[in-house]
Amino acid sequence: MVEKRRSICLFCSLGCGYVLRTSNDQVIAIDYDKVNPINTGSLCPRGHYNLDLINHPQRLTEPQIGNRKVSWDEAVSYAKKVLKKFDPSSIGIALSSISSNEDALMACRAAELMGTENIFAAGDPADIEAYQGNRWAVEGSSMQNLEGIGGSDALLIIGDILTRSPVLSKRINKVKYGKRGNQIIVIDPNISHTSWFATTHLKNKPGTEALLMAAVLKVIAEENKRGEIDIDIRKVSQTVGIPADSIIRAAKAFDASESGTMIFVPGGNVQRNDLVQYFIKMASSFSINKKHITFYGFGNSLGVNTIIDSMTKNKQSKIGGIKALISLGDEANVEGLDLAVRCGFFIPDTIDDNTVLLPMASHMERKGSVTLAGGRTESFKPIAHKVGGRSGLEILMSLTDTKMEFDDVLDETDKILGKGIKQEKVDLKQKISEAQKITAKGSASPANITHFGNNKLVKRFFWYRVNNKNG
Amino acid sequence: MAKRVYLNLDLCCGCRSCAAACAYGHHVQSLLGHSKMEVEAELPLHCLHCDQPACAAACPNEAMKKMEDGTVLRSHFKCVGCSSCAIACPFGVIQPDLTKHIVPKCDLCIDRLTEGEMPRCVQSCTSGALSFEEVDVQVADEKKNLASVRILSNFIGRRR
Repeated sequence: MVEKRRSICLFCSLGCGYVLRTSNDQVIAIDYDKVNPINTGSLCPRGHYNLDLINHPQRLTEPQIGNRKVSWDEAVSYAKKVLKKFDPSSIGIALSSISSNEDALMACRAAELMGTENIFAAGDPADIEAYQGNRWAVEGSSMQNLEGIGGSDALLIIGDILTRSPVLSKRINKVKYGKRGNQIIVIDPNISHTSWFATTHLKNKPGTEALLMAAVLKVIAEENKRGEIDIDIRKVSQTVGIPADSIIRAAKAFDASESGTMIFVPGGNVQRNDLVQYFIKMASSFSINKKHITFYGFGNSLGVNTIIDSMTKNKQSKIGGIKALISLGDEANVEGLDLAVRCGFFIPDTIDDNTVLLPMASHMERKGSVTLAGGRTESFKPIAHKVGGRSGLEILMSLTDTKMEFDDVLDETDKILGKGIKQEKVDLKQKISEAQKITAKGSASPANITHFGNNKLVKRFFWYRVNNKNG
Repeated sequence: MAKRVYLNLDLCCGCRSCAAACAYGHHVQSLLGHSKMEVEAELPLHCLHCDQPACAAACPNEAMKKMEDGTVLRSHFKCVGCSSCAIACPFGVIQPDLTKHIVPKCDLCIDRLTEGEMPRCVQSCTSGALSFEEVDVQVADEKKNLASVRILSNFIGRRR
């Protein structure tokens, strides 16, 4: 008997729905969810990989110590025994960016019990940086929801949104072909799939997005009489590589539209994602009827970061000196470890003897909730057979000998997320000068480009492009 | 009436979800070719299911056959993988897989059509560029012109 079961995708922060065809709890094929209001039946290539996440031949199904396959009890008791030998400050907990909110809460609890402050969200560092920009308080800015994107008259897109979340293209097409005079302004150094649809493509030099947005903010502030911003657009246009006229014209066109949306895609080639995030919030508060929305790299970046931020005092940037790491998901990559407790989906390429592998249940095999783009919260429930895995929540509970009911954890996460993101006051002038400092010399050095993880090859390639290619 | 897949290039964002859906529906064997126009667009190459199919005429083993409803189908058993049909096809939509000795060919997802659903590529299309409509209606429809306004305007913009 073939059944159709609904679930949501966590491979980007859009959270599309899809259907899995199951027979006797075994997943057979992927199908399309026509009822879901987010994607109405369409699904991007990455969405199809959800099928592979369950049926993959390299899926981790049994716990391992080194290369030896062991039972759950043995693996957990071994991990607990070895973890006790470490100094609490040298233990770290890394969360994946597709961990559920409950996992994040439990990880913060576990860190408290172990007495460590080293807890961080692995995954895209650009997401964490953009989240920092969200913390800086701006009065009167408002976040756009997904339905509102198609209804707006002008879009200001920073980054390549259609590569990250292609399902948005229906809404972007609605703006492009909806009304005469609709504006789509794309800020991106490359010719991308998004820039095909642009009415104005501001092709900046790589890494200068923050400075360009500061200039756009100046124009918008002048148009709405919200005070002067101390920045010289002519100098900016030299550094950014776009004529001053076209910057001013694009900013004015966006400001003049009846309702506009700013879409931000944090990414590795943007220097200082936090400043860009802050400037688009500022612009939405200055201009009339403008809203902003940010699309993070993976599903639950926003939720995980919000919970870690409100539960701990330590800043994520100050983390270091980790000798033992408990990581949820496959993303954490820390060198020089004496013990690694990896709760992941797949068998890694190389396994050291000091690695404990615990199979984790994916979002199709467990209960949980996530916070997606625009602050939307979605919950998911188990729809397929478990491939021998336990959820991150269960693993963390057994590692710390605590017991909590799922509903209690859910209530607590609701309370924390209900408070919203912590806000701190900052000075706009200072941030503008920071933006000018990044690219003061006109070209970036490889040391300043921080967000490529450990990939030196990409870093060098990027540096080459910044310094050797004009325009 | 026979229904066919149509492409509106103005809307296509080149995400290749149609190709992925095709591969996932046909045992990781994509039957859908993909072409890339540098800088301007990417477009799926769909089988047109011709009235007088050149591929069927070229086939030495009668593996290609035009069915009663107008679709051109390939028999999995008769096909020997000689790729004569790929050479004969005037639109270049049949692309042989040389490593597997198979000639993949669009079958319009007959398993889904019998359930009353659209083909996978049309259903999964993220931008609404692909549509599955009756042949006669399409010819009169302005939106489905072959020339794309977006791509032409991009060309003109770059030449300036």
